Amino acid sequence: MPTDAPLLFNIQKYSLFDGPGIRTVFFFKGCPLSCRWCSNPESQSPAAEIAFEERVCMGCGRCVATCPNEALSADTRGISVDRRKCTVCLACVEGCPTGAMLQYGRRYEIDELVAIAAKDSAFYRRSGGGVTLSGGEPLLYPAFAKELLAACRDEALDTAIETCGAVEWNAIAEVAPLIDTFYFDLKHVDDAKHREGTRHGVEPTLSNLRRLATGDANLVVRYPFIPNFNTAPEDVEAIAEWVAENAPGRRVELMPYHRYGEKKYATLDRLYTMEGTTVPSDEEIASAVEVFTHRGIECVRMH
Amino acid sequence: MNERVSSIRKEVLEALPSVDIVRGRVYTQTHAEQRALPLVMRNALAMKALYETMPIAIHDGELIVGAPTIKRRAAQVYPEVQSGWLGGELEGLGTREWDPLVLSPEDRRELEEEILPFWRGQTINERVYRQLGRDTKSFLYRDPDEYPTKPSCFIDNFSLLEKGIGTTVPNYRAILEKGASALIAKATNAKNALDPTAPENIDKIVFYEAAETVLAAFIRLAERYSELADAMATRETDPKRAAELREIARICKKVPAEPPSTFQEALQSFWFTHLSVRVELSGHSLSPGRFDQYMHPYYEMDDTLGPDKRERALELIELLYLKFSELMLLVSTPTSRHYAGVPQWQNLNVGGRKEDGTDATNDLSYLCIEAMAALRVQQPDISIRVHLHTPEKLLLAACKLSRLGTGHPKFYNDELITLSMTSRGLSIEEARNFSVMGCVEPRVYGEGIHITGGHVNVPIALELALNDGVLPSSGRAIGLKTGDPAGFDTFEKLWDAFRAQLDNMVHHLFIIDAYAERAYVDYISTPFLSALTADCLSRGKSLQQGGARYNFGPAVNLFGCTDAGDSFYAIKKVVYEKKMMTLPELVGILNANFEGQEEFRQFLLHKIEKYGNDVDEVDFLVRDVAQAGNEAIMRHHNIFGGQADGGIIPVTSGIAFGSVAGAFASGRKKGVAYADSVSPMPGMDVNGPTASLKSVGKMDLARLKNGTLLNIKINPTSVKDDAGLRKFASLIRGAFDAGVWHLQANCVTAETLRAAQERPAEHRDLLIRVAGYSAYFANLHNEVQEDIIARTEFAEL
Repeated sequence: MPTDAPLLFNIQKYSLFDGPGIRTVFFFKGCPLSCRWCSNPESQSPAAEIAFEERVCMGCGRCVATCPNEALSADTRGISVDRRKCTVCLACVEGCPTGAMLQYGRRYEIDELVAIAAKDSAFYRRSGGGVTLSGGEPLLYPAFAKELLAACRDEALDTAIETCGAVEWNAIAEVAPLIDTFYFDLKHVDDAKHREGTRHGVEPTLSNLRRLATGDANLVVRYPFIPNFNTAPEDVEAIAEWVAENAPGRRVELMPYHRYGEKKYATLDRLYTMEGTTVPSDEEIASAVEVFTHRGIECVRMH
Repeated sequence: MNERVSSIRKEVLEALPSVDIVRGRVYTQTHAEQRALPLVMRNALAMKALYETMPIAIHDGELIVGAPTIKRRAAQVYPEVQSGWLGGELEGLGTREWDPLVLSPEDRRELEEEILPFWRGQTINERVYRQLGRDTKSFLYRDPDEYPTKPSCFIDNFSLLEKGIGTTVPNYRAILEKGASALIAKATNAKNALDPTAPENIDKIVFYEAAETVLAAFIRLAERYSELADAMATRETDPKRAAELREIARICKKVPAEPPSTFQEALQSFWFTHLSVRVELSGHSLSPGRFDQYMHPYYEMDDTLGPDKRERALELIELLYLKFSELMLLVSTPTSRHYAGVPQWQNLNVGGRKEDGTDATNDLSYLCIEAMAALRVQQPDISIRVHLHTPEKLLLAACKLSRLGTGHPKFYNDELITLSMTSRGLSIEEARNFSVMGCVEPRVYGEGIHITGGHVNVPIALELALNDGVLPSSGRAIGLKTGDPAGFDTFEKLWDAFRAQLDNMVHHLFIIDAYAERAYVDYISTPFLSALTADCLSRGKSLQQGGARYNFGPAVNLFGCTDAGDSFYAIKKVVYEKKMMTLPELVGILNANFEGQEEFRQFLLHKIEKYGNDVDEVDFLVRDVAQAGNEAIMRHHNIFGGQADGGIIPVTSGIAFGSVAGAFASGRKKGVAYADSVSPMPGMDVNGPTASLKSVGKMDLARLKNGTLLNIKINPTSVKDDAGLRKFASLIRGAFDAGVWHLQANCVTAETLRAAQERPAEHRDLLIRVAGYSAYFANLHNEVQEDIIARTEFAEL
């Protein structure tokens, strides 16, 4: 296993919106950003975590009994994990009969991942699909990502990556020749606002995106459309203007805010700070799309 | 859909289903009067009497005319097969919860006192009950000493014993291409060439006379419609409708006696043929087969439809579909419960390949799909055969129809089914020209009635193996003594015991089938269908005398293969590999229905891998279970020497068969319904559809020659735009590359999502797909689920 072998928190087949065709997505664990709206909170920490899925729990209490560190306790909402005591030894995960105690984060050999990816070859061939590295941030692990991408290419699989771009340029440059499609997040162009939403400055994202856009990479800009963060008309204008100037001719996919990840926060004993936020209206989304289109930028709404 | 079509559609859908006893009365009277004659002639005369006297009607606006009953959605009575059970069903027929049928008190009295008693003692079921040995009866009947019989649901063939037949694709081409008059001439010439002093010729002469009789009656029925249309035209005040009626009169005078030369004539000829086979046969699955192929020449040559040819043809096809929808079946109360809405499996195929291997798609293929998309009615069942060169445009049209959520169309793997057909000894050309009948069953041109061979409850064989031949639920010792499970120190020993039990069950089923087929040829005769089927007329033999070119079957259904395979895998892991307990200990837990062992049951359900996730080891065990049954079936043959074939088509039996089985090592509790057909256990395919489709494809389905059925769920929001539709089309093509025989996509409904909200553990397979996001529906926040349900409801509109 390579020295920087990362953890994956999920491998998802039949993914329909993470690149062309039907795809298998490898979700890497660990992300430099901490976006408030993150729909995969289990992706943020690079370390393994345990989570509790109340909906499938049968209430047998076996997890509490098996925990050697007394980190678990049963209460009205099911099982609580004392994260200070938990050593992620996974005794509770193994002991749980229903799968309500979950493990987020597992290491895989490159060969193992390629074998999993190759299983759906029939569907990639028919749909033009393939493999997508997502996360978390896969480029936190450039050596591993490069090796995995090369192995996928060796199996003649189409490759894509979803990145927040907040990594060293070298990481991007290393993998770029092995990637058929880049999906590059552009959450904001204003440093202060970007910090407020992601706890991270807007550089190096902007410089990396600008640099990648000047080359011949097949690049799609993804604009997560987040209420109270980047949906105000002046934000939309600023982002569109930046794209027109720095990534001309690149397609923009607008990704409306959704709440599908909200429930996961509780399973990790974390607080969802966006609670109560309403999803953007169709009209809001359409007028944002129009701002891009007006500037001659191809822009489509995803989901 | 224009105004004419939409108003007829409304009338058809709103017609109150009822029972029409005219057929039952006329068949009974004729049989009573003609006792002296052989069965084939009695039936021919019965059809003649019926066609000369039955009331007929042409409804407002109709262009395609004819129906077996004067009222729409009225079920005919077939006392020759139904008399064994129908008497007990009459009480409550009009008030039952699902698909009640109106039956007047006078008609009920006539049925009970005059029609049904005539046939008593002369049905397949009654004879077979008298003839079977004790061992076989114990497998077949819930109580072997009680008549009328009830099914044990271990093995059964009540379809043949009690329900009669229907499962066929008539050779409509025989009437279309030559006309019924030419067939009469053929029968007459053949008859005249026979020496009536040779005793061996008498059966043939009788068959030819019966064929002449039914075909003449068939022409006479059309003439009666012609006369009726003429009479109505004279009275009609609207000149436009009067002209239509005169056109109907002209057409019905010409077809089916002569070959058609316009599209409307061809459709009318087709419909008279379909309804006449329906009048003759009692059962479901009477299927049009490759409609777009044999009807296309008449569409192509028609120059009477004018510049709006396409629209006018579409209207005619829509009107024809409404004729299919007018038909009704009289089914028993248990059947009506499992099949609300009276599905009839009149399977109309489009696409596929020509005999030379080139793509067969034509204009009609598209029109047939469009007509259903406009009408959204249950019948006929639209199906599309998909192969390498199926135009993407046709597949996308079919996917769009699928998106409407009506259950249409069914998708078939053309190449895999062709391969399977060649294994019957057919030429490649014949194999490519298969038709799909009923649900998923391929039929070859020239094939007789491919009789149903019944069902095998496969997991019962595992239960018997685990309990030394005794069924734990009842304590009945019906199986073989395969030994105390304590002695099964290897997995292979358990497997061998299972195979012995399964072979024994199949053996008893074929004893039943052999007696039932023998009785069938004594009690059933279908002169009309025989006259159409290649080579009955040239051989001078009816279908029941073995006149057809091909006689395959009986077709036997295997149920519970998923449950049995998953259970074998769990036993392998828990007992033989992890050694968590001994086999007798596990059997004890199962026989106690997991009493006090819920944690262990949850472990079995969620921590032991299941079929449906593209995991070879468990998938291959499910395959091995199905193929073990299939091999046992294929060792048998039918009364005409053709080979029996296996399939996995659920009909009602997944529920009924599951209800008699105990708890399984898969984690399934006692009495729970089996997984649907070749599907994974509900909610256990947690890796999405590509993984479950691959698991299904591993079952070596080409060998299960009677076909396998697969329902998959799709989220309506994932196919809402063209990009989504294209991905859905690739999913289908990928599934067929992976070896899936058939699939039918059901859009996930708001109702399903509600159920998932309430019982998330059972619906872990429901997907939510958004870019860069990973989760299942069950993991979502309540409010978010509500939002998705609301959008799904919207998409359903």
